[in-house]
Order: sequence, then C-alpha cells, then structure tokens
Amino acid sequence: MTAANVKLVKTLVLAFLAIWLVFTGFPLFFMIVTSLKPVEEINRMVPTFWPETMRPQNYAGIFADPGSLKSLVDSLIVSSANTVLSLFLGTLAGYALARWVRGVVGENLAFFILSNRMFPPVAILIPMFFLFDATPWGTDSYVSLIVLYLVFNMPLATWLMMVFFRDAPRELEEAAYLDGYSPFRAFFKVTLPLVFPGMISVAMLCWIFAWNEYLFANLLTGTTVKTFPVHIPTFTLGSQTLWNLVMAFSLVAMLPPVILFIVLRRYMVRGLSLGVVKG
Amino acid sequence: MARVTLDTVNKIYPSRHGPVHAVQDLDITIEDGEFVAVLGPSGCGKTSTLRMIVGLETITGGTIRFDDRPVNELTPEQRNVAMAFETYALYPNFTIAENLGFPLEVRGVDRKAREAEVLRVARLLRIEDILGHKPAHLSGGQQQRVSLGRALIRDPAVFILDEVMSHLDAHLKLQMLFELKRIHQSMGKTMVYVTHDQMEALALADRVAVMSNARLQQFGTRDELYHAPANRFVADFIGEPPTNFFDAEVTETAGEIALAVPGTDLAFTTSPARVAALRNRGGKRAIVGIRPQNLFITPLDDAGSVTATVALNEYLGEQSILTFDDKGVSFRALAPPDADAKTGATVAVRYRPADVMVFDTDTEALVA
Ligand SMILES: Nc1ncnc2c1ncn2[C@@H]1O[C@H](COP(=O)(O)OP(=O)(O)OP(=O)(O)O)[C@@H](O)[C@H]1O
Ligand SMILES: [Mg+2]
Repeated sequence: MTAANVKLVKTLVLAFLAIWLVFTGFPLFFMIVTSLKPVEEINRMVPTFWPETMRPQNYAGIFADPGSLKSLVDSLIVSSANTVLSLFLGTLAGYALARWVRGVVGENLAFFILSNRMFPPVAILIPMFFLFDATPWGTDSYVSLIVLYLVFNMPLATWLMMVFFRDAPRELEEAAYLDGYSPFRAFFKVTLPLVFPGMISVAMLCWIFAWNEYLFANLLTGTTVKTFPVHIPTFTLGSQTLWNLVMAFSLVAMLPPVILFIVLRRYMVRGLSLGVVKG
Repeated sequence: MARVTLDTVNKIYPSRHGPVHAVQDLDITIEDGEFVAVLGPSGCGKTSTLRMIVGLETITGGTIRFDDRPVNELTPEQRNVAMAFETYALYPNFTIAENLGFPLEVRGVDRKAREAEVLRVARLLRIEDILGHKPAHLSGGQQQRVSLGRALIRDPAVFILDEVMSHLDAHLKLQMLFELKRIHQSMGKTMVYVTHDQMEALALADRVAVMSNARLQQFGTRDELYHAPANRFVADFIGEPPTNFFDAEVTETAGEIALAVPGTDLAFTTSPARVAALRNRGGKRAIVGIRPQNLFITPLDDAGSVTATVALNEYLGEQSILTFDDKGVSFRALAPPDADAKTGATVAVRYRPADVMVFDTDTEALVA
C-alpha cells in the first residue's frame, strides 16, 4: 500500500468510527439528558437536547418507591444465583464433553445442548408458566427464575467451557497423574486454573443475560419477586410514562454490569486468548 | 527397577473414520536397567506404545508386565513410571523451579530437600539460570529440558522419554545425549527413549526397536540393525545416507550365483551363506541392498566390482558422496574427499560380497 492509500484507509476507518459513535453514543447521551429533566420538559413536541432546568433530584426520586431498591436486589439475587449454578453445571458438563464423551456421540451431544439456545424462547413462554405453576414454589419466586434461566445459560456455559477445556492441553493432567495426582486433584489444581479466565468470561455472559431478561420475568413473576426490568414500566403517573425516572432508573441499573466488566476486563481478554501456552 | 515385557500388545483407537490400528502385535522385552530406544517414522505408533506402558492409554489387546506382574489394570501412579512428554506438558502457571519440584512436592518431600534436588537437576540440564521464569517465556529447547528434568528428578521403576531432544540444536543435543547416557549409567534404571532420529537412538541405546506401520520391524543392537537388518525397511531406515537398493535377477552361470540388475551392466555376488539361502529359496528375483559406506573406488582385496559413471560428486567436508549412474539406475557411495572421481568419469566400484544384502522381492525380508 502506498502512503496515500494508508491515509485514505485511516480516514475511512475514522469516519466509520465517528458514525458508529453517534449511533451508540447518542442514545446514551439522550438517556442521561432525559434523566435530568423535570416532568414538564419530557413530553415536548420539539425535544430539548439539554435540560432547561436541571433536576438531579430524579435520582433520589426513583428510590422514593421502596420497590425500586427491592427490584435491584431481586435481580441481583436471581442473576447471581443463576450464574453460580450455570457455571458449576457448565464447567462439569463442559469438562466431561471435552475429555470423556468422545467420538460421534460427543460431538452430537454437545451440539444438541447448544441447539437449545437456538430455540425461539417465546415458543415456550406459556408452557413454562404452567410448568412452574405446578411446582411447589409456584411461578412468582426466586427459584422459578433461577431455574428457568438455566435453560438459556447452561447450554452456553457448557459449550464455552467445553471449548476452553479442549484448548487446555490434556498432557498437563496426564503429567499430574504420573506425578501422583488423582483425577480430581489434577482437575482442580492443574486444569481449572488454566480455564479460570474463561470461566470469568462465561460468568459475565450468564450474569448479564439473567440481569437484563424481561420476557419471562414479566410473565412468571411480578408480586413477590420483581426484577428491575419488570419494575421499569411502573414509573407512570396516570396514563403518562415518567420518562425522566425511567431513564434515571435504567442508568442506575446499568451500573452493576458496567462496573463488573471494568473490574473483570483483564480476565475476559485472557479468557478469549486461552491456550497460547503450548509447545 | 523393572523388566518391562510387552506381550502381543495392540492398540486400536476408535475414530470418526473407523478404527485406527496404531500398534499391532508388539512383542518386546526390555531388561532391567536396559536403555532401549524406540525408533520409527512419524505416526508409526511410538507414542501410543509409550502411553500404554505408562498407563495413560488402555491396552486394546495383549499384556504389559513389569517384572512378572501384569500392569494392564494399574494406574500410572501405581506403575511408578516417570515420563517426559513430546509436548513438554509444563504447568503454565508454575515457575520452572516449581515445575521441576512438583513430582517431589506431591510425594511429600520437604522443602529443603526439594530445593536441593531441583538445583541438582537444573545444573545437569543447564537451566539453573531460568528457575524463576514461567514456561511461556522459554524457548522450545529450554522447555524441553525442563520437561526432561521433571522426569529425571524422580526415582521411578522405568523412565519413559518421548522425543525429548527434537527441539535442541545439534551442539546442545550432543551434550545432552552424553549427559543422558551418563545419568543412565549412574542410576542403572530401565529407560525407554522414543525418537525418529536414528543418530540419537544408535548413540544412546543398548538395543533399538525399529517400528513402522504400527508393527515392530526389528529389535536388536546397533550391529544387528546395521549388518543384519531384518528387512528392507530397516536397511533403508538405519544408516546415512540410505542404503542403495536394486531390483535384481538371480542368474546362475557355471554354478556361480550372481544378482544382475536388468538393463544395466551391474551384477553383484554375495557371501556363500546368502548364496546357499538363495538356492534354498529358489525364485528368479531378489532385492539387492548395499550401503554407500561399503562401496569403494579405491583398490580392495578379495572384492567384487562393477563399473559405473560418476554422475555427481558432492563434497561434504570430511567425505564426498558420489552418485553413480548406469543406464538409468543410480546409486551412491561414500568416498574420501581426495578421491579421483570427476563427474563423467567411468570407474570401477568395489565391494565385499559379505556386504551385499539380499531381500525377498515380495516379503522384503532379509534372505539369510
Ligand atoms: N487419540 C487418538 N485417536 C485416534 N487416532 C490416534 C490417536 N492417537 C494416535 N492416533 C493415531 O495412531 C497412529 C500412531 O500415533 P502415535 O502418536 O503413536 O505415532 P508416533 O509414532 O508417536 O508419531 P510421532 O513421531 O509423529 O510422534 C497415528 O496414525 C495417529 O494418527
Ligand atoms: Mg509421538
């Protein structure tokens, strides 16, 4: 490539990034602006792009409703418990699929498990309601959501962990066997540390799915348990949606995943480049 | 301490494309304290054989015994074997010192003794300066030595070493070969050393097992492999440059048996023992094999000779490799660098009849 070409490509890439930034950045910007507006300002025909009067009190206002904080706590309980379960089951199943269930059966079984993810969830929405209604804990409970989200998160966790385990050289475990480790000890001491960054990435993906899920949560729960996506539409006054409060609350609900991502970013990058330490 | 016996051992891997017969009817007895090399081209089943000996792979058929005890059902730990892996298998989140000390730590050796041992082995393998590093930062050759060290630090019944020098440069390899030989002599342990490099195998081992296509071709000392190769494959595989082979016709004139290469003027005579065997066998055709080292262009006592034209004279420092051509059939000989053999010259090539090996055309097995 000539120097001029390099410059052209650079310019095009920058232009693309600028457009992309507008597309992703503007909604966020407008969310923040809206969350700071008073009620009178949110339903104007010509929207304002900067609040005429600042109302940061909106952020305190959303928590005037005790349901707001509870919904965040409910979401935290459901998504964390589901993540722990998904990761535990997915890690064991992924290891088994990577190491022990081999050949034609293994490949097909692994694909079958993943194919659960390709099923349109809406199709099982109503059956799921009746299914959980028949259980002792009913539909409106932590257990129902935690178990239900396994349907989506466990296949993903299993598949990804299987890939990570396949990349972790088998010889390391074998060397540990020769040196006197039991299969259990070799798994925990030698193999698990290798896939640990991968586990963190999988945990993030599972957690974020469960944190943001709306469809099933809305149908199954709502009284005893109410996750934050179900709580968001309740910021209304008569027939009017209080967009300023909706936006403020949404921004608050965005914080946990964002913080989690920043803290664990280091591991996520490594999780995706696992398996480079080879002969 | 153990004698290792493989009794018609077989390994069949199931796979997507049907079963793979990786090891077929292998019979080997490795004496206690013996240094045995398993030599063969890539994919011939060497690693599979080792993995069955150490217990990492199930044995599809046959029995493996340590002394007189069958070990088929024992775990690797119960068999008490140490192995260095072809892929090194170093623990990536441990330092080199921790990697080396790991087998001792598992066995509950205390810290002081462990550190002393690690240092001893590190010195032996010339890796004492990298003990604090992580494996990912080492070169292939360094990783390979650490992997060898992790096997050598133990005191097992049998040492199993899989291609442990393939990534070392020539100079270091020679040093390591020497060290390994010395280690073997001082410890007197049974060692099985896998390689596809005949130089390593012949330099180190008391006996060499040559494998090809999942089968044992020959198990013997250096001399046996060199002078009485069991078949054409072994004759071809052992020795550098490789043996010359000719498809020959067995002719008899006035009671004398000769092996003539059709379409050329080349004809060889062989030792009386082989002549007798050829007579016994009957048949019109045979394969003649003669090593380049055993062909001379200088005068030689009681020798046969053929005439051929020098097609190429490659000067390799201490020796020249001459390539001859006779009506489309070419063969090679080693000659001293000052040999008078210009390209295009026609010279007499001499040989001792005892060095002319004869193989069956169909089975490729040595005739006598
Ligand atoms: N787990 C396995 N599943 C299926 N086939 C296998 C497996 N392991 C080895 N094989 C096949 O068995 C044959 C022998 O393999 P093996 O690794 O023993 O050869 P090798 O002599 O050690 O070769 P190299 O010198 O390349 O290490 C090969 O054809 C290989 O493809
Ligand atoms: Mg191998």
